[in-house]
Amino acid sequence: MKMMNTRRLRILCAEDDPADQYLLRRAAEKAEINGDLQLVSNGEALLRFLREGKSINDDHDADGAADLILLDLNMPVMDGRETMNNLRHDDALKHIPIIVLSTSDGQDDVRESYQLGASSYIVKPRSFDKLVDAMVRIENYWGELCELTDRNLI
Amino acid sequence: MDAEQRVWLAGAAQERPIRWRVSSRMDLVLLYLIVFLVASVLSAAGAGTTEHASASPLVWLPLAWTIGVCYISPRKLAWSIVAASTGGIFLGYYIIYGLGAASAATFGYALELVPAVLVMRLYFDSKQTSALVQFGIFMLVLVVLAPFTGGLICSAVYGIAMGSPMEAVLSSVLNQGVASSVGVIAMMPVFISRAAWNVLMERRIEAAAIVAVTVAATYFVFVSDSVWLMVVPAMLATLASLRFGLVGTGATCTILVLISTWQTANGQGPLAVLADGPLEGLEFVIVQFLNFVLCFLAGLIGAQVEDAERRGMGLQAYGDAVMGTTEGIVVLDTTGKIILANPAVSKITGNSADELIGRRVSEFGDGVDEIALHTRDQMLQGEEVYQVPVNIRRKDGSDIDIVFNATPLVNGDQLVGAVMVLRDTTEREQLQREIVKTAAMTRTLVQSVDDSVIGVNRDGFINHWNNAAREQFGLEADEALGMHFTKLPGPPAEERMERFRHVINGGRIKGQTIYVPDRKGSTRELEVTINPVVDDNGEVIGTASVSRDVTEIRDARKSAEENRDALYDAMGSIEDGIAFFDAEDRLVVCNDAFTRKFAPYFDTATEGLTHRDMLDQMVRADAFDLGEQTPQSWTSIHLAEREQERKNPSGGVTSEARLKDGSWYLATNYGRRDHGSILIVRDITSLKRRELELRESNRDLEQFAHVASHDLKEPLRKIQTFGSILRTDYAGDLETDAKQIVDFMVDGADRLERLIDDLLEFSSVSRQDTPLETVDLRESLDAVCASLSEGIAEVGADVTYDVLPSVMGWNSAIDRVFGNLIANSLKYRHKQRPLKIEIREVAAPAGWATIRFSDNGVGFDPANAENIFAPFVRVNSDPEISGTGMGLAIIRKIVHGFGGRIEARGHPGEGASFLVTLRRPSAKFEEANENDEYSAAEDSLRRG
Repeated sequence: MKMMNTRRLRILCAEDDPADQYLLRRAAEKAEINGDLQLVSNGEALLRFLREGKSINDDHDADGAADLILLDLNMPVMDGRETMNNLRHDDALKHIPIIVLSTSDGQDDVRESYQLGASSYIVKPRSFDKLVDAMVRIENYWGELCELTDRNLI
Repeated sequence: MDAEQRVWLAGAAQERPIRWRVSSRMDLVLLYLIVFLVASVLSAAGAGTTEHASASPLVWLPLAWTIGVCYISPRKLAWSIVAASTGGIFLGYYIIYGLGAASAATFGYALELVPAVLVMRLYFDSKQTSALVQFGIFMLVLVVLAPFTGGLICSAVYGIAMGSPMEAVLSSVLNQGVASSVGVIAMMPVFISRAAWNVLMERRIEAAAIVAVTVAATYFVFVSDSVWLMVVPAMLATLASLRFGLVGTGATCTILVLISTWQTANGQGPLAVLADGPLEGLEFVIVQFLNFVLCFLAGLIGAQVEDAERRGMGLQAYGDAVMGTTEGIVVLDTTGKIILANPAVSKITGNSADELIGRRVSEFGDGVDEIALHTRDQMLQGEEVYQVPVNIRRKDGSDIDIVFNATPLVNGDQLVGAVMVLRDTTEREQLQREIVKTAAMTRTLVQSVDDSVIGVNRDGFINHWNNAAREQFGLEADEALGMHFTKLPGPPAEERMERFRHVINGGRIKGQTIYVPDRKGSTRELEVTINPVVDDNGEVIGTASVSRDVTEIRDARKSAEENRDALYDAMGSIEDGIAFFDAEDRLVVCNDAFTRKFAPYFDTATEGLTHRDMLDQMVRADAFDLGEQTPQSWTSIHLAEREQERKNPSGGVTSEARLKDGSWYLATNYGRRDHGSILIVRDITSLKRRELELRESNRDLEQFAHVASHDLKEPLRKIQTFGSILRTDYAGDLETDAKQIVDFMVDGADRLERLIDDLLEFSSVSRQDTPLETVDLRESLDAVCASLSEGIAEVGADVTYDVLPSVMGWNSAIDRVFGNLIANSLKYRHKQRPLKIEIREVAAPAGWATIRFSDNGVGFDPANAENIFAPFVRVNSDPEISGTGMGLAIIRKIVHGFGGRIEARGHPGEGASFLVTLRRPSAKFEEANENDEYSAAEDSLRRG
């Protein structure tokens, strides 16, 4: 069930695979997310986006902010782990919740991710529909959380 | 012993029996009476007047008798008084009937002498007083005291009895007194002679004096007619009897009578007075004869007494001996009554003398009576009774064994008793029994010994042959005894004789080896020791040979040597290094291979080195290359394990070590409890290298597989995801054909994914660095069934299992095994019937557990029992059933990884069953897991 949010969710997603990028975009559309999905190809780009507000795609006006980060683990240049490490050592950025989205279901990867500050870990589903469901859930949960944060109720 | 017994014994002790003797007081008294009677009759017959009766020797001599009686035994005073009184009575009779006052006086003599004798006796008995003193006292009493007393009393009595006036009595008394003294003097001879005899025996000087007096007196006899001198003849007669016995007495008396007769005939001598008076001719002669006889008798009595005394003294000595000896002496009469028993008998029997004397011997034990009677019979037959054993009962009830000798006591031809000498033989009997027992034991010992004992006498003839000799030489005792020893089978005679002579001369042969043919024809080797046999005096009386059969020992020794040589040869040819260590862990022997491998590291010679030394030297030589582990720590672990193995051999303990030169060695130690240990060292360098290579390549493979599958799965996912988008979102836009194409595409991708998963699983089923654990199969099945419950329920399958054992493995892997098996069964179930799965334990070798997993599915062709486990092989080609062919391959890999086995059995259309054998948990395995550096699975593989 989709909840009504007053404001749009800004989701920042780091994913290097174009196919996966396509899938994410499509899933977000199907899930009718009330938000903007900003895609970057690797960790470095993500950081740059957050810090400098530059994006590689000119989808929207990049204001360098994000309510939620979806992070792939295996990326070139800077992978998910390194990215998380950078984020949590950055006082300005460490508050942003991170959801790791990865093909790997290895226990080590999961543990490591949590240790590095991930708030959640989702294994990329094989079927598209499940991906859509995951998106809905993300929006519901994290969206509300952001709402509450905005209202300074948390 | 009283006097009676003494006399009796005296008689018994003599060789010749006494023909006639004065044996009792009664005899004396009788004799005295008879004589007195005769004398009185004669006196009365020849009497006309009695005035001179006082001078008549007929009257005096009976008095001498009385004295004699008193003298012999003053203790029997009563008898003496009776004798004297009888005489007195007769005298009294004659007094009354007219013998006159003189007779009364004579009666007085008897009385007065009694006290005199008593006094005398006292002095005679006292040994301290000298004989001379005794003599003097005697004279005094006799001459002075006695007469007056006796005479006075009698005269007084007579006078008063006769009614004479007092003056007459008094004068008569006085007269009598004087006359008495004379009469007394006549009694002197006996006493004097006695005293004189004693003096003669003891003191020569006094004796000489007495003899002088006597001689002087005798002179007076011849030259004077004093009546005093009547004394002398009597004295002489007594002396003579003492000294010369009967013959002497008789001779002396005869001479005296003749002299006196001659005197009287010549009107001289004391009797001349009498001759003129009442006595004449024949009467006188008769009187003289009687005089002679009575003197003689007095002498005789004296002699008898003397004899008796002497014998008494002798007997005293006898008596002391009998009393003092330690051998028991018993005198019995013919009825078996004990008359005499010495103190030794009291000691033997525990009874005091009073408790013995008077009792019969039969009272002292059962069977004693019989023996006593038999003894008596023997003695009656004149047989010697010597060393007769008898058992007598002591006073305290215990019994004692004694032997006795018996000597008969005879009186003439009659047996009157027996003297028995007893000896306690209990101790002797015991000793005897001990000796016999010891001898018997020695005999048995010699017979039972395994070595042969052959005794040979000085001449070389066999006199002793025990059982073992019979075995060794094949000769029975009765054949061998008496045979010359050189005739025994074995070495030649000369050789044997030489040895024999050596031993007879006091030498000894020890450890001599001889060869003897045995009954079966083979030769036996004996080890012989020969010793001389000596008697109590130290003389060599023969030899004793002890021979031991050492054939078996020799054979055993030889065979042991052969075995040892064979072992050494084997050791020499083996590639592995073998070293034997003794109980102190010192090197005893090692083969060339060992020396070649390790001697270069030792800086001292290998012989006698302990294992620890060797390792230390190798460490010092920096021989080891153990990576992170220090050689010291490796060495101490190795030594500790080895020590454990040495103490409690458990089939060997192994350890590996790498040396600096790159070689790997496997050392196995086998403990032999108290005999040390064996070390076998194998060069496993090539093996190790291969092993490491394998492991490395396996790891590479795993990693590759893992990464590969991931990378493979990525594009796959894409296909699947996009495929599903097409199917769902663009379903309407696609024609049926296109839809089908998409389906095929997506299915293909799914299948590929499953394949990749299985491949991944297959590759990951290998070494883990975790130790094996104990897996409860029942719990595992519970978990698996739970996780597959959906699938099971969907099919409606019935999975049954009961009690299942525990095995060594990993829980996850075992779960996978069951999971795959159940999944397979579900997949390959029979469509026409409900699926039944049964899992149970079946028989397995010790240490292993076998589980049978069986279903009633579609089964398979038994020809495929082997390759059903091959990866990617599907024996069931039913296209409806999807499968990758990896399921069983994975199971097999897991099971083999745990050192187990799996076997498949099936029949098409009936079902399939799988027998899985896995190791049971054991203590050893768990211990190994604790200490092991490398993984347990590796060990299990290596051990096979």
